[in-house]
Amino acid sequence: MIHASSFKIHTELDAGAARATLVGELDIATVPRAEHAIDALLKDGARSLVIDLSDISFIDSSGLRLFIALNDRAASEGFELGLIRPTDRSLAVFQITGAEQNLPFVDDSEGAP
Amino acid sequence: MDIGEARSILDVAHSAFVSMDEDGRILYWNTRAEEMFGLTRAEAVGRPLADTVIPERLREAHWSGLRRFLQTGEGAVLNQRVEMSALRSDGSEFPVELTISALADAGVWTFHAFVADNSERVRAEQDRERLLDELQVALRGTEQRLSVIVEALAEAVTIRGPDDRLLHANRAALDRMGLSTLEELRAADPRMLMEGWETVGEDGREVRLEDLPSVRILRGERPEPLMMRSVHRRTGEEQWVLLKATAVRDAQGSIEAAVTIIEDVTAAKRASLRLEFLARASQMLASSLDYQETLRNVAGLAVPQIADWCAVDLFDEDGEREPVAVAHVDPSKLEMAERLREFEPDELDLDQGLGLVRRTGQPILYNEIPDELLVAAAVDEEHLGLLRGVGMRAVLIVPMIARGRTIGTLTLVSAESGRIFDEGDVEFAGQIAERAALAVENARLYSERSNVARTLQSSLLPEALPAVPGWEIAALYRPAGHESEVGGDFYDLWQVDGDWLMMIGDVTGKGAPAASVTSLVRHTAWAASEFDSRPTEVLARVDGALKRRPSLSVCTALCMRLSLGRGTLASGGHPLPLHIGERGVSEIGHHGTLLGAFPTVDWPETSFKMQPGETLVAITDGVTDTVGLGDERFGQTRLKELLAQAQNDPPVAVRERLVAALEEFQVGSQVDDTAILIMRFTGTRAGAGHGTQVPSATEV
Repeated sequence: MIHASSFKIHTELDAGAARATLVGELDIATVPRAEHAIDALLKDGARSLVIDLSDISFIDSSGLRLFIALNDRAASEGFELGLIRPTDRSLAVFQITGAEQNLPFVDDSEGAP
Repeated sequence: MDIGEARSILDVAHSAFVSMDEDGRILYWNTRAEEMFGLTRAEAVGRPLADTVIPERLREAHWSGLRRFLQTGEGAVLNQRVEMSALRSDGSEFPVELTISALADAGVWTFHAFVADNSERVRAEQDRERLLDELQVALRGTEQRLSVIVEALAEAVTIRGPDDRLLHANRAALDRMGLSTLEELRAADPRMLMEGWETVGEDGREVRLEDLPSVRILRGERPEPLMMRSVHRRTGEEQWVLLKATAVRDAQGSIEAAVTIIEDVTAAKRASLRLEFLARASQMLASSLDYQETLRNVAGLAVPQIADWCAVDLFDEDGEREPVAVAHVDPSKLEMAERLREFEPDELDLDQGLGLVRRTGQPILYNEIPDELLVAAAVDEEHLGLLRGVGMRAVLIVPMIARGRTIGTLTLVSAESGRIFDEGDVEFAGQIAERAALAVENARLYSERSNVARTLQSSLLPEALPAVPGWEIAALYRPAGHESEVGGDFYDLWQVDGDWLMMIGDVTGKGAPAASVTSLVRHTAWAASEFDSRPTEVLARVDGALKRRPSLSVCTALCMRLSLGRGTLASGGHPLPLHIGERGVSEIGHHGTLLGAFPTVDWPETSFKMQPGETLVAITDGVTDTVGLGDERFGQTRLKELLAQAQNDPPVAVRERLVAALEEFQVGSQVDDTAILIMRFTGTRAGAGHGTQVPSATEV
């Protein structure tokens, strides 16, 4: 049996503005689902994308990689990306890797549609 | 054009213009002349030219020259560029360059001269001579010590002047260039000096004089160190050198020379190239069970970096050869190879070439290819003509041995590049052949990819942990998921300058892509540490290498440099190591930026000390991220508690305890790879550190 991390993703898209709310554990097992859902938003024409991580309880290095790749993609494809900070516990991976200074974290009020 | 018009043009001319009559008096004096000589036109016109602008010692020559011309019509200085000294109104002299012409109008002569101020050029020349003198003095004269140091450097050192010529070279540099004296060096044209070698950069492009760091510095650029491969055209000797240049500035700050340190990095560079090649070849060999295609890919990988030609032949049960692959960097040459093949009998001659290698299982190296050898190998005239046409310089044939049987050969031929093979090449080719043989054998024997993956995984980890004096070490690697998948965790431990470098890391992703990043990280760290073994620098090199990859390749890594009882460390986004000592378990070091990911980077380096009996534990996040009941993670706290209990255990016991705890905690199958490296400092026999109490594992 493979461990099934509890993870949910909820997406909205309105006039090019997309929001993806991630809940639970983002790790090597659940990253493909998150990636798939976010890809779909971009394919459907999202021009700005806010990813809400405030209900994320765990992020590992593959989760981090997803956001780095997304950030690179935002720069090359020209969409806007904002990440809403996770809680202190799961923020650790961003802090120990220097990602906090390099990824586009936004305040919730700015990012809310 | 009338005189007035001509004069108004001359007034704005950039050169000074001066006219003189037959009596030697000034007739005309333009604006530039006013500035140059410090005398207005009103003051100058009518005065004898000689008294005005010619230094006293030259006046007699001027008058006699003028008289001779008027009598004979011959003027030694007319209609040509003349360099001489001139006088300003304040009595100072300065160098000028002038052209004098004489015009006759109704039998009366007038003389006209364009005069240019030569001070700048002369000063530049004098400066260069002065610089040369000073450098010579600095290097040989009063500063004997400097000269001794420069001479004693194993590295070659050269000094290049502003005209790109070499002014100085130490003995090592002269030897490199095949010169015996500095006089020869100074007389040599810098371009001609380079002609003796074929020089290419890491990208395979030719390195020209303009590309050398010293020449670029003299152009005012700020070049990076240049890694260059040079093959001596006559001897075929190949070298890799690292050229680092620094500007020498005068008191005013302008660049007057460039000093280059030429470091021979052949051994390190070859090691890194070979490791890179092996990693890529291993990956290729593991990627497919179609070994024929795979061998073709591996042969293609070998040119032109390892050789100009690469061929792979397999032998069947009856000893008949099956040519599998031949590669040359120039596809048009392949046709020639195909034609050559047609002449070669399938039945091997067991006394030479491939047949001999098959029979003996020993490599053969021909660094001289005399014509007799070709004649002996040729079956007829046409074949001989083709063989001669290849222009072989050296040939290396190594056996592919699997399960004690020579199943094929790998042939490397050097032709166009002119290089010869050395013992290192023989050993390296043997390693490629060994892996290729293993892949062929695996493919033949099994149809499961899992075996290949295991082979590859083991090729990405050190075969055995080296014995590190003063340290006791245990390691663990547990890949997650399917056996056919290669994981992204790795560790390595190697010696540099008498110290030891430890690296542990986690490449995100799995399978062949992660494996290729892992091997890139390892060989880059290896090669980087040869140049600068500070953990921060090693991480910076790896970060750079990852960023140069076309697709996003990120990696966390912890790099530690260990000596007896102390060390330094830096982390690239990797969990910090835990220190186990008398006072408990604590993290040491500072966090740094993930590698390959971000434009803004920082890898703070931390020094620490170790007491005998104290232990360091480096892990990948697979340990702390291990999932237990109710999605709980093993976590840092649990890890620290466990290590605190293991305080007096030797590394192997710590490892067993940790594995047992993880297996007990874990629910379901393992999600992520896990790597652990446990290092206990045992101290020295001399018992260093007993006299003075140093704070244990404190950051100093």
